[in-house]
Amino acid sequence: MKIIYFFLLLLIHTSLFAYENEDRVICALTSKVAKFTKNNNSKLNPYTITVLHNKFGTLFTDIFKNVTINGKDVKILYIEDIKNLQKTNILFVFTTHINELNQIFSSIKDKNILTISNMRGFAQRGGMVQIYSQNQKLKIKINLKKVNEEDIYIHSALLRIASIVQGDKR
Amino acid sequence: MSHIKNRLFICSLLVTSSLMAEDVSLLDESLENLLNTEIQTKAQIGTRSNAKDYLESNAPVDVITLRQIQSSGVTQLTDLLKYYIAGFSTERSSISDGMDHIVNYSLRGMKADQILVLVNGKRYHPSALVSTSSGSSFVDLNSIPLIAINRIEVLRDGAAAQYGSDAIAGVINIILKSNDANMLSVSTGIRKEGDGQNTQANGFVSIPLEYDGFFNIALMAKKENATNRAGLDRRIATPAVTTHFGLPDAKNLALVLNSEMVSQENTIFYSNLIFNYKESEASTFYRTPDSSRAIYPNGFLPMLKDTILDYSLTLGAKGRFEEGTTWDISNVYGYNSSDFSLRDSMNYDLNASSPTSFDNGTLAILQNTTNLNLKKVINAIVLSGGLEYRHEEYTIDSGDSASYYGTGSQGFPGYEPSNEVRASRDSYALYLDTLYNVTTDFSTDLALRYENFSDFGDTANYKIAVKYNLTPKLLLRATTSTGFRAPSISQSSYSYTSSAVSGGTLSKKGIFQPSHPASKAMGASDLKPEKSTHYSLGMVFQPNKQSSLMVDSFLVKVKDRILLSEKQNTTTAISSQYGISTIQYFKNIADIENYGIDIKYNQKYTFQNQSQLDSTLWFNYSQSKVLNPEALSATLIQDLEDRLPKEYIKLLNVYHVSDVTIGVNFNYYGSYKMSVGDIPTTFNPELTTDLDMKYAYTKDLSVSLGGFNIFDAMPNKWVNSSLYRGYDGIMPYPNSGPIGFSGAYYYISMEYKF
Repeated sequence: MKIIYFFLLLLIHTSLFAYENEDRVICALTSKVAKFTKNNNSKLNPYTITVLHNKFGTLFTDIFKNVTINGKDVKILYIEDIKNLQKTNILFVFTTHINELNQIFSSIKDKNILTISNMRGFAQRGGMVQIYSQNQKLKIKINLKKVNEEDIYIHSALLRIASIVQGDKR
Repeated sequence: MSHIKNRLFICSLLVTSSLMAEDVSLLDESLENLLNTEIQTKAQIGTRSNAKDYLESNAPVDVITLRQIQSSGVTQLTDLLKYYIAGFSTERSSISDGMDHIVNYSLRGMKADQILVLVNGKRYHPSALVSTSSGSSFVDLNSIPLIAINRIEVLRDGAAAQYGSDAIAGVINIILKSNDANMLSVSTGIRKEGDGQNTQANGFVSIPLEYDGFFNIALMAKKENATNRAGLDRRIATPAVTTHFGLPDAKNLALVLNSEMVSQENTIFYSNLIFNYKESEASTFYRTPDSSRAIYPNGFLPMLKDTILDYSLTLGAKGRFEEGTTWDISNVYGYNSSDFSLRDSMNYDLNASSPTSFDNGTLAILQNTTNLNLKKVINAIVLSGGLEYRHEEYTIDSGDSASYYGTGSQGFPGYEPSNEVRASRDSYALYLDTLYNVTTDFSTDLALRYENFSDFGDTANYKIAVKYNLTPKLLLRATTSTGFRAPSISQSSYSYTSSAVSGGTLSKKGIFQPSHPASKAMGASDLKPEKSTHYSLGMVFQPNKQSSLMVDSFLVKVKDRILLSEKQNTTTAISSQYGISTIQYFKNIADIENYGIDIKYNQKYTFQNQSQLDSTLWFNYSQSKVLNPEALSATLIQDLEDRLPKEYIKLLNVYHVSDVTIGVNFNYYGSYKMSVGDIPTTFNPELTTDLDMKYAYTKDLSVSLGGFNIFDAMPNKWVNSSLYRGYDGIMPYPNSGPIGFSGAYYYISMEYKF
């Protein structure tokens, strides 16, 4: 009886901080990055995030349900082939083969689309925003040259806490 | 009684309301808070699919994170696992020949050779040493310095169908650091008794390479002084402490290089070198005065030194085909040798012409593993499979002739030419692992592995694991599998014999290979693999993101466990032909059932002042039962069933406020039993307390003060009287209890990140 009582006492708590699922935090960071950037496609309504080779199940849809970015509703599109890309504000790319990655970059060149990925080396290979984990925390890398080339504005608050990758090593 | 019921009712209400509370939406958090959010630790172990949150694994997995490693204050891997894993026990033997120089360990009541060790997911080689008490040879975990480690994943489940031989009690996967902060650290400490000084310096540098590649260098240098808790030696006229009974003197140097180079085409070329050199010296028993000796007539204490060389080199490449299949090819070469030497000794049979220092021989093991692994995701199915080839060699080189001449060097007779061996074997494995996510809440994992060994033939094993999310907060899981442990090449090849005067004549005694004619004459046969059957059933309850409760029960049946036979006097014709009087050999001898339960509760509290408390309460119960008692002696049965505690409780707490981090751990070990001769001693339950107080002077510089077993808990002494192992003897404490017998240890350490 005492053991049960002890365990019940342990279950009582209040807290603001938590251990979070990495995938959920990546989705949330994507929304923050969206809020801290502006591109010509900002006029697009609803705000569109296209997910290529989705590996998060329904997480993007669930997280962005009833959420607005820059005062607009958010639409999530899932595609398996870059050829099916429609007009979008953000293209989130899951890990893919290098040949396809080059193809993606070629096909969205000058289309003013912000690219985000959790793929290793993404920023250095010509992507714009890379989200990666280090010791149980997520971090952001930004390829500023690429962002500038595509005429995308990134708020200084985001640049301050991100690592800046210089150049494009493609 | 009604008072308790009322309290239970109130608690239940509070718990229910807590569970009903909505999580704070992540999207409402600031960018800074999101980047400061601690994400669930992922584990690669337990399935060949992608790494997943360890709490969502289909088998019980624990992860020791970098932060936990750095906040523990421990300086070697076995201590770290003991610090964080309930049911993981370590043994530091003394006056036990080679076993003085390596830390033995067990998990859930099962021995070290039933635990598979991986580094970055690749099999790590065992030590060349053979424990003549437990009969096993196992991985020297402490050959891998903590400074090089990012995290440790511990799978508490059988997994031979996934990883091959040895994965019976579980699997320890050590993940080396990748892109981590550069750092320097120094620590020094001392035992309460004033001995056992320990000084260690560590350095780690990470050089970033293109496309998030890296080249890491980790270095560790350590010096440990001996402890001595020996009792009075009553063999001499005026009883005095003559022998060292405690931890050995040791010097240790380790280097780890770890790199990943990413090509333009995104192929990752990875490599790591783990190098460890250790010199460790321990006492044997004091030799009492004898005027007939030309050397040391007033007595002497032979000191046995083990020079251990250990290294592992991994080379590999991994990538992804355009259609999506990922591939990984690697080769791991591992080597370990133990070179024994004696000083301050003599050979009685050489008397005046005896040297006082001896080369006593060398044991060495080599293991080379080549692996190809492929993985493909087809809709809801993750299909992986591979091929593995392993080559092993075991050698014994004899010592110098003076070390084995006649009765040999005192303290540790050298390995004789007849012990010399050059054994090798090969094995091939083919495996397949299929994870099927039937629905988002239900998944199954089926693993099959076929393996063929050149010495004993083939074996096929399976594992089935199922996981079901009954609710988003409650996960149920179950596994069943078969497994095996191949007889280690050292068990098949090892022999260690010496000569003794028996009945007025010199005869041989010791450990002989199972294939030796004298062993065969006594009933030995070729070793066959230990076969195991596993069942586990468990649940993970995450009422919210601050807490989790894991409950996992297990049942493991091991058939044909290989142990060293008891010493037998032999008078067979073949024994006489070889001049053997006493014989021991490795044998498939015991059928053992291990069962128990783990209950682990994690809780994270945050207080008004933004301070945080991480607590873990972990209870482990492990029971071993011999299923064929008729085949074993009462002493051996007791050793198998009662030598280790059955209950372990850990209450781990880390409190963090501003620049200060305080860790306080309470460890409870249940009673255990050992015997001297026929007299058993039950050793009382033991409670130890560990403390670590860390102050971050700046963001990069921190100082820690702390101690292990700070209240100096000691095991009770043997109940029997004896000149050697007894409450009034040279060894008053059990040689291998879970808390050792060196007492409290206090330390100070400093860490600088750059």
